[in-house]
Amino acid sequence: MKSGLVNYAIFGCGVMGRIHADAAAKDPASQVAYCVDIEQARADDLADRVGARGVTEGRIALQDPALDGVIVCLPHSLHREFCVEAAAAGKHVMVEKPISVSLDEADDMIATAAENDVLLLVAHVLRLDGNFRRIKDLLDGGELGGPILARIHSEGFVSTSDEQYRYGAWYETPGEGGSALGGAIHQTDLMGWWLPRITKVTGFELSNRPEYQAIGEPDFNMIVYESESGALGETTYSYSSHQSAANDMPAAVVTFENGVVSVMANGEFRLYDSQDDPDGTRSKVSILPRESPARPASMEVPSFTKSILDGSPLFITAQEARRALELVLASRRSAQTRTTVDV
Amino acid sequence: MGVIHAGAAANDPRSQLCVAVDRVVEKAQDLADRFGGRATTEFQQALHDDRVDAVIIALPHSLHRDYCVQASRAGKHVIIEKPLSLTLQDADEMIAAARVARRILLVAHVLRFVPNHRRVKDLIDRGDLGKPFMARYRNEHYPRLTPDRLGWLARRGEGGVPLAGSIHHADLMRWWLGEVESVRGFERSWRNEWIREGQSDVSMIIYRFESGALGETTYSYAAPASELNKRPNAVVSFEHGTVSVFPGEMRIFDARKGGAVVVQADVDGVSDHATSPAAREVPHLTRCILDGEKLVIEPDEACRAVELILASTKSARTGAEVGVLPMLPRGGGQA
Repeated sequence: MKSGLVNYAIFGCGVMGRIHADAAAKDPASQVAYCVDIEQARADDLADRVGARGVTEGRIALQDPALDGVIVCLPHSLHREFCVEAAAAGKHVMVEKPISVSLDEADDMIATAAENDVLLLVAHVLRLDGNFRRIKDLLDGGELGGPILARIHSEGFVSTSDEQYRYGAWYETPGEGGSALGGAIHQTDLMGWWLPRITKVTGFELSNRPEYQAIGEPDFNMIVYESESGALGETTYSYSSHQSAANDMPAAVVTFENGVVSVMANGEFRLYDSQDDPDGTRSKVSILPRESPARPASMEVPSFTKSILDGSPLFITAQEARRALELVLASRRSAQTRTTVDV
Repeated sequence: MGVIHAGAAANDPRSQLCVAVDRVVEKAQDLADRFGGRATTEFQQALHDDRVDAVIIALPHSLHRDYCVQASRAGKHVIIEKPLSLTLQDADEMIAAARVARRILLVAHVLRFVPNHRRVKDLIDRGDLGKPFMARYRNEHYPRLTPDRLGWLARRGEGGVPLAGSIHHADLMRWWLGEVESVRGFERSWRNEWIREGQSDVSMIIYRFESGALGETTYSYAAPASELNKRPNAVVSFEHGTVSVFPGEMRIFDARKGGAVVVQADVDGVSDHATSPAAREVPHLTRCILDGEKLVIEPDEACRAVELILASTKSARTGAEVGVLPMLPRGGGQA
């Protein structure tokens, strides 16, 4: 435990690196000391923005005894290497989801963090979303009875030719897991968080776009989860759907024994409690506005800093992040073999 | 459903209700009083009535085969509520009876009579938005079953929600996206009235089409009032866009045309006897009989829907994906 200010190095100055660097720069208890990227210009660009030093060698940062933690926003296949190196150097590690591309890698990372007594936080951003937290509270509180069916959908058409994703070409390379490890892992973690223990997964994958066909990775993942309680979950993550907010697709719907909750695309939270509606007039739907205007991704660094400084629990344990990976990998096996996989 | 069809017949200038049959004479009399004709508890009386051209069967599923076959053999055209039957053998017998008698057999798959569903079908066939790769359909509600109304629905031997509800989707999926290669079903029982009878009240089915596309449908009788959440019933994802069907309207998003969403209203937003899609079924049969209009759904297709649902139930039991053979002509030899 320490007091004062936590010094970070950002590894990977792309989209997420920039979001986390900005969040650290804004947080009074956090500060960015190094911005690391294989491209000096990219590192310097972000470093100038947040008042840090731009370097192309991670070791320079790791050798600095004043550095407390690293934030790893690199291609998935590089997570293990850089996280293990940082943890071995005694630095706390925050890494973007997925924790890694294989369970062996995840185990290696978790073991190294434990041996060196550093924290390992996998940035499963949706856990900080106010609406998803409300659903978690409703599930834990039991006011609406048990869950019957939970769905989470995120469908869009992400293109690396978009300016926003100009550093994201690696997403469309083999071994990065396409929409399975890039997207479905978010939803899978929420399912694992929300539902009583998941015992089976059945996965379906499509490669619709030529870019994804060429690399043999999916751009559409649908997964069905079976919980020991009998509840079903279904998630869909797509990089190949032309959704539009105008289609009014909710981001999540959970049907309980005594109610229904929907998170709409505009952030609205709708709650229907059938216990308030004994006559079945269905007139009582509570519509709550989005809980917090803050972007959940900007809350991750401050939350990590707090855990480092005062020992408060991480918003997701490394074991939970490993479990999300385990479930997604099982869904991929399921998709390939066309069988349901026990987990 | 009997009331809806009787109302539709009464509203159609070319159809009329001659006989209302129910084993409860008051129910039959009530229908006759409202929509015309005479009431009886004897099905045979209707079959022997020469004025009767067609019989509309809205009975529990387990009675479909017997009444349908009798009606065809008596030389009557038939509208039968979905599901066509509980087994493929029954379906073959029913289809064969109609064929031998040279009478029409219309299975009332009401979703085919929703104008927006026809628009989706046309849009897919024209290829406006490129190839579809995913289709979904959802209906989730919590029907209150009483001895008077739909009390039989949850009974053992009636097929539960898969044959009562998911069968709608099975037909629509096939109609939209073509032949199915395999299905994976998930079934659950949540509500006491269904648990008691060992029947499923939640059915989720994933369809794998020969085209490589996927479908996902959910029918639930265990969901409280979910329609309040304003979700679309159906969503079809295409190479170049997305189509959503809400109750009463449909939205088309074409990514090549920027952010514009085309919203088309559907008169079916209001569900009264004059406009509900089910009320289109009787006039359709009448036109088939009088004008030779082409049937909206062939009996073979309704049989295929039963086949897909039975496969999904098998899948739900075994926990494995179940393949279905290419569709075969049903009902045995030609008349």
